[in-house]
Amino acid sequence: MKERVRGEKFAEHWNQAQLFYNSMSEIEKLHMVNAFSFELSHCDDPTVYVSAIPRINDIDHELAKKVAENVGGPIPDAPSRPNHGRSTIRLSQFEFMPKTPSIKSRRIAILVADGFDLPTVETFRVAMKAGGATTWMIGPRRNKIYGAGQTPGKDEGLAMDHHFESQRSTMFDALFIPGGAEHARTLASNGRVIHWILEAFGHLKTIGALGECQFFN
Amino acid sequence: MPTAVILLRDIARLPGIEFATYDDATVTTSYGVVTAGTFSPSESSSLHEGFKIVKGAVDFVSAFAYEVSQHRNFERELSGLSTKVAY
Repeated sequence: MKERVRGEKFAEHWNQAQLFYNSMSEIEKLHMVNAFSFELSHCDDPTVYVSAIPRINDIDHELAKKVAENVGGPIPDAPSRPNHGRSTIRLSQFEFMPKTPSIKSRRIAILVADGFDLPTVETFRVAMKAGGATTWMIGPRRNKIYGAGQTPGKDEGLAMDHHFESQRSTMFDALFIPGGAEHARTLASNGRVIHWILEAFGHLKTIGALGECQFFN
Repeated sequence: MPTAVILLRDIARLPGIEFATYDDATVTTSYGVVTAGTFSPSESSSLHEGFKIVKGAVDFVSAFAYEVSQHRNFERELSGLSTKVAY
């Protein structure tokens, strides 16, 4: 009897998933471990995470072992099928990085308080603008902040775009902190500023800092 | 020790980072954290002409811009440093 059936290769579900996983960079594989672990850790019913592990093991044994350990599922003893080991191009996101490094459209937050190094900030902002990035002044108030040696009411100061509480490091690509003794003391005593720095660090963002004198002495 | 560097090292206490130790233009780049004492005089006067974004740059703006161009410092995550801070 003639039959209209699918070809044998339709019964193979795992080669492409393995090819994709094999093509990931080390950090992308780590992110996949963390993502699987995060999601499955939110599943209280063991039926879910216990049955998910063998499916992940169908793709890669090392991946399955790490996820199983993180979520409390059964750690597989062996791969359920061999990983063919093949990888291919144009799957890892790192292959799409620009050939020429660029900072166009990047948003740089500059954290300041009264007494900051104004000339350095102005030079830095010109440079970032020339590179196509935008800079945003963040201070203790959304008002004029005065550079070292400036007098409120007499000197211009610099207008802020936001104050520390009204924006967040997550809205920027990088932080820059200029020098200035009084400014640095003010930032050091502000918990929100410390949070800005720690959050940017935890999110792997670039942090730049300059300064010319010691103030702890 | 540059002032803002003290902020990062002793107040925020960023883990595993090497910081600039001199109050001059010597740039230190460590896991995407770029520090120096100051701009170099030649850097300040030439920035209006533009700068090159290259790995291993010795002036602050170029070194900072290169790190920004890489989007994130994934080595910081692979080294476990990002999991050591609370935020």
